[in-house]
Amino acid sequence: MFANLWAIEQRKTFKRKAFVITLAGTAALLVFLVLGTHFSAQVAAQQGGGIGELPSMLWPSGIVVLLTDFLSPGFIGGIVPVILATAFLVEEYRWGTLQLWLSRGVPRSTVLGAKAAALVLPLLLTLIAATLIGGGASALVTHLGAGPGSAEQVNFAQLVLSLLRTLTAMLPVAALTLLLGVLTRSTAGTLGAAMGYLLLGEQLLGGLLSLTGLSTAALYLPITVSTVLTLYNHTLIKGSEAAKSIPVGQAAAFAGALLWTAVFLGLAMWRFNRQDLSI
Amino acid sequence: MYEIVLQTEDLRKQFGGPGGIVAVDRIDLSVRRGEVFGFLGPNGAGKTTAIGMLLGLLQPTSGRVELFGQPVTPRHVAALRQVGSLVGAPAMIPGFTALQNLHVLAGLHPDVDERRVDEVLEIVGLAEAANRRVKGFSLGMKQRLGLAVALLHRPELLILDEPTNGLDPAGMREIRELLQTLAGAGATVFLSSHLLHEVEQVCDRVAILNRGRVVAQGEVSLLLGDQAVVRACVPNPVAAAQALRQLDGVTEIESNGSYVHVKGVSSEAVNLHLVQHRIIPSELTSGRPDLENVFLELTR
Repeated sequence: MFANLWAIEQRKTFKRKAFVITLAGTAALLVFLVLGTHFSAQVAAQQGGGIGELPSMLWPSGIVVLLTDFLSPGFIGGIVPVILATAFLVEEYRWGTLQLWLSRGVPRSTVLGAKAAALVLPLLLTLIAATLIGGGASALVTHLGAGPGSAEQVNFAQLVLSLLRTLTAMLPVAALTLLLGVLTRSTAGTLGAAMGYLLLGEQLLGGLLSLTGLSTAALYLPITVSTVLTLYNHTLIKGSEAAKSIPVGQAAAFAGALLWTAVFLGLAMWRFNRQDLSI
Repeated sequence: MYEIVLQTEDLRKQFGGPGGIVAVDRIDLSVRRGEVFGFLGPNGAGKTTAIGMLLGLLQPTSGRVELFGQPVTPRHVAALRQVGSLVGAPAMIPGFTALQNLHVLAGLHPDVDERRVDEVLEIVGLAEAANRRVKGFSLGMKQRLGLAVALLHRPELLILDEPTNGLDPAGMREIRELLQTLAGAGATVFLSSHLLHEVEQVCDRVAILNRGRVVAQGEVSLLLGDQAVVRACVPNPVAAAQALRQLDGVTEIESNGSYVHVKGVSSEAVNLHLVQHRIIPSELTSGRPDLENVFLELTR
């Protein structure tokens, strides 16, 4: 039953407008960010600096910026799972298709579990497409400006691991959105609450924890610990020392992201199993 | 002995905790295999809430639902695999075609093949619109697709809420005939409708719900028979009414001008009783009301 439902969800995913629009939008935004950052940095350099320290989008550091900054859960890596999880769950409350599955004898936990599992593949595909397109844009500006970048500087095994790290960092956001979707059953409510938490909520919570002397605990809040995990993507450049100064170990950050995912999904299932559904 | 496929016992749903609104109040229903069972009630009577509990979408406050002898709650849904339903607005993905919607659902039922998908589209008269997106469908077409969805896995029990909503008279007739054919083939149909003549034509038995309670349940013919009205034209209606109050089985007496209206007994019994009391009716008629009259009477 679970496998059937997962396959159905995948089939629905690739026919969904929300997925296609998210994929295209992410790609376009990354090209804009890579090119915009690069040319702003160039202009700033020609004028003798002055607009702050813009990161280099030249290969291979451009790919690190892409996977640690642009695709971090605090930025595009957070927006993508919020949009996809909202589309996957809340729209189906509205269409009545969720109620249809349930009235066909599919257990509630199977329905929500299959939806959550089915989110992983579109997230991964969006991530791969974003990396290829953003990486391509970085390679292009490198080629136009400083000549072809050296592929030898990149540790490709770490590049694959970076994709998995970034994907893992997206999971707590997706699970939190599913929880908010179950609680609010409203597209606007889910999007608003999830984006509010991403942009403001966790910063406020982190600030409060720091004020009460629990700044270490603040590092383990869902978005923060996931963002910390993506910082380990620096290791994809051979010889990079950046990862040594990260305050939370990679295994701990990985476990933290998975734990938050499990907590949010568990709460979503608990609530969903007890929810009265209107028809 | 009838086989009961759907049964509720003391089923109750209260929204908003203690002191909240009681939408369904201790209803007992039993639906037999192979029958078309009508579920009637005015708007707000609690029909949709009751159906929500039958489909495991709402948690009963108390009481129980059993389908095919197995309990149904939001956490016990196995029995629902033999159920097809169309409740409220038909559930479908608007950006998909009719065919794609059915294919998505077919993935849930391993025994449903491509041929069955085409077959149900043919049954509901949507074969030509199979490749059109659902968001461009009229209400009637959506309703037909909703029926196709309900029929797709050849369910043993169909729970339908206003299935002819949005259909033209010819479409309504087609659906009525389809329901009778399905029942003839052994399926059980639980039909909630406000179209009383439709229910009267199609259903074997009905339950009438009012303010969350079942106010009548039984065979349509018996319900109508119970409500038959005998009208007698007599010289002294007040004396006649007084005399008829002593007659066993009389449920209601009303005098109006030179007429007395009596319910619950046959015209023969009324005639004999009046004559025994030396009241000779100059006119005696017996009228069987239609379901609409019975419904209005029971739900006013």
